[in-house]
Amino acid sequence: MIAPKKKYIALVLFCVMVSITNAQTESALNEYFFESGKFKVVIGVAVIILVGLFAYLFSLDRKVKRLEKKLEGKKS
Amino acid sequence: MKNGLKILCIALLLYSVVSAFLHPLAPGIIACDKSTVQPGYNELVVVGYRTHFINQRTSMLVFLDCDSNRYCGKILEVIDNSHVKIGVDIPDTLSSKSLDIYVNNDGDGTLYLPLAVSVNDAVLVKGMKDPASCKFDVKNDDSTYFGYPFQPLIYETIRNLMWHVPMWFTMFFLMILSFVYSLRQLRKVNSTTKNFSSKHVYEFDLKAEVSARAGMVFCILGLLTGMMWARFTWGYYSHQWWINDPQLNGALVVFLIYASYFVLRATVSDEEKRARLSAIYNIFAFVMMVVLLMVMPKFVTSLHPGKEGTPAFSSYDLDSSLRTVFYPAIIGWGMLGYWLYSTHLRIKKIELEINDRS
Amino acid sequence: MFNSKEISALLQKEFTLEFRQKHALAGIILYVLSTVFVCYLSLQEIDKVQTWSALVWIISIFTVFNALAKSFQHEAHGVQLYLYTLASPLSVILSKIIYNSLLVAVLNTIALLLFILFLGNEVLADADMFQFTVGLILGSTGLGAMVTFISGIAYKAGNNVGLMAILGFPVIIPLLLTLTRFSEIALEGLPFSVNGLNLLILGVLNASSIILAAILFPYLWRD
Repeated sequence: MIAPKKKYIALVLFCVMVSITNAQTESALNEYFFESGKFKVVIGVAVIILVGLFAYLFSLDRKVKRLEKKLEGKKS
Repeated sequence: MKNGLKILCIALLLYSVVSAFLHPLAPGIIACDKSTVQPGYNELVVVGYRTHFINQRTSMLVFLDCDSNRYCGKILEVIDNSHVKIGVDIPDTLSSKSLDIYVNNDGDGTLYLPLAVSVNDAVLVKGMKDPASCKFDVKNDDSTYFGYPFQPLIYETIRNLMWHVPMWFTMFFLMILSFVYSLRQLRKVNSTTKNFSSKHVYEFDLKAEVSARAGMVFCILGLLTGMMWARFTWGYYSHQWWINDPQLNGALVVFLIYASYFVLRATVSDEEKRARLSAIYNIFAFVMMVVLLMVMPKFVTSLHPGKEGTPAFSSYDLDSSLRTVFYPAIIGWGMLGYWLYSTHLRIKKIELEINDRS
Repeated sequence: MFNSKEISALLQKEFTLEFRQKHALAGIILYVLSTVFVCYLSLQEIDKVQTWSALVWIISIFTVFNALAKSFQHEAHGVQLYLYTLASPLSVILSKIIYNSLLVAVLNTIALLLFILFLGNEVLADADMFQFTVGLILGSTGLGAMVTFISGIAYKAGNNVGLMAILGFPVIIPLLLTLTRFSEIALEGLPFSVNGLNLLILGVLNASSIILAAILFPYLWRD
């Protein structure tokens, strides 16, 4: 369960690293985001916020799950 | 949090998100095809954004401006709604090297691109008044198209005002909450010296911790979104993702302060001591943070990378089309922050209760 | 609350302790020497005022963190308890702050002299030395107060030197930022009025850190 997750994170990190270090990709990145008056930057910002809030929701969810398990363990 | 407040929060957020995306942007000029020109006759293509050049062809005026000396351009061809080709005579003597481009028509109003072209090999005479400066009258200065203000370099990303900025406000709201709870925790510890068995002694400590955690989420979001926005506004000519912007630097310091607050909490295992020490550190660090946020903007002029051509951020707030969305967005996100905080707090309380019983 | 007799007695105790443990002070001076020498080896010479003042303060901060890490440590727990019954916490923290500020001022002066020795005094050619000294004094008291208080927290949290750096650095950033700006302007020889706002911020930071330390220390002190 955990290993593929880590792989994805590593992949995303790798892509970010490549885009940071590689100047060729850099200009392509700029072109991509500059289309239609930089509207994609707004979408990127909105996506970051949504992903962040979902990550927080996930952490809360995990806490609740732990509590549920504890309660169940007590009942039986 | 009451259900009514939750519904209000959702309504405000829906309103702000929808109008942040649906509102159009006012027309503006993005670029000119040449960045340097020679004195003499030049042909330039001016690129507009959301402009209506074809409909307003008859009332179009394009001129270059250099310290109030105007050089009118002859409109050669209106290519499409956002491209116009002009021919302009640039004299040998100018009062400064860079020229601003103005476009005016009855529909779009006066559009302006500062420092658009620079002239090579021109004789510079400071403050000269050119008699060849052309005369004309402008019928309509303001745009008839309603929308968010068009700012150079920022363009559509002005919508981030409804996304990125509320993150900071929410963070501050939650950090202030954490500070207040830390103060109350210290006072409580003082007044109940003997009675440590009571369960509610550390309630304020728990609240301070949880609100700092929720605030931290918004701090991280503010940092990431700020990085993204700043990079595509100022940083695209360098290969850096971190832009030397005082706001961004200050935010990182806030992040560091609260990260060390959690490190401190993790190192101390004794409950009473943890409550006391972390409250003390929270109060001390919060005051330093406030001073820092007073200090940082003082260096704006020396640090801000977009000094040329980037407008001050405060000018956003002046526009009424932004204000009607911006304030609801801040209130809505603030309420969402409080909602998340209270949910997290309830989970923590239940956890403590279950641990107590077992 | 404020008892000058108590404070002077505690100060005397601090000095006696320091004289008894000369090796500790010698160790810190050695630390300064080697840091400045490393700077010299890697930079050879500095012709920019900005780099000069930033480097001076960064070295100063690392030195201060090292020197004050043990400011609550070198007394055994029994001594702490004894002090707790004898003196008010206000006198304890004030005496510590005064003593540590003096120590920081001395260390900063030593660091500065070594800096000039190795990296030359070109930068000081048109410096306003009075202004710079004012900055040095204010910086020493501010650093002394803040780092003393933070080392108190770190001591109570289990006396972990790493923890002290983690807790201290974010808090110290506003002071560091203002100090480098202040000394930059002083080194460029600009008039005092240019530095007015920086001076005000330094004053506010000093006052607020000392007041906060005085208010919060009683809570920290009791166990």
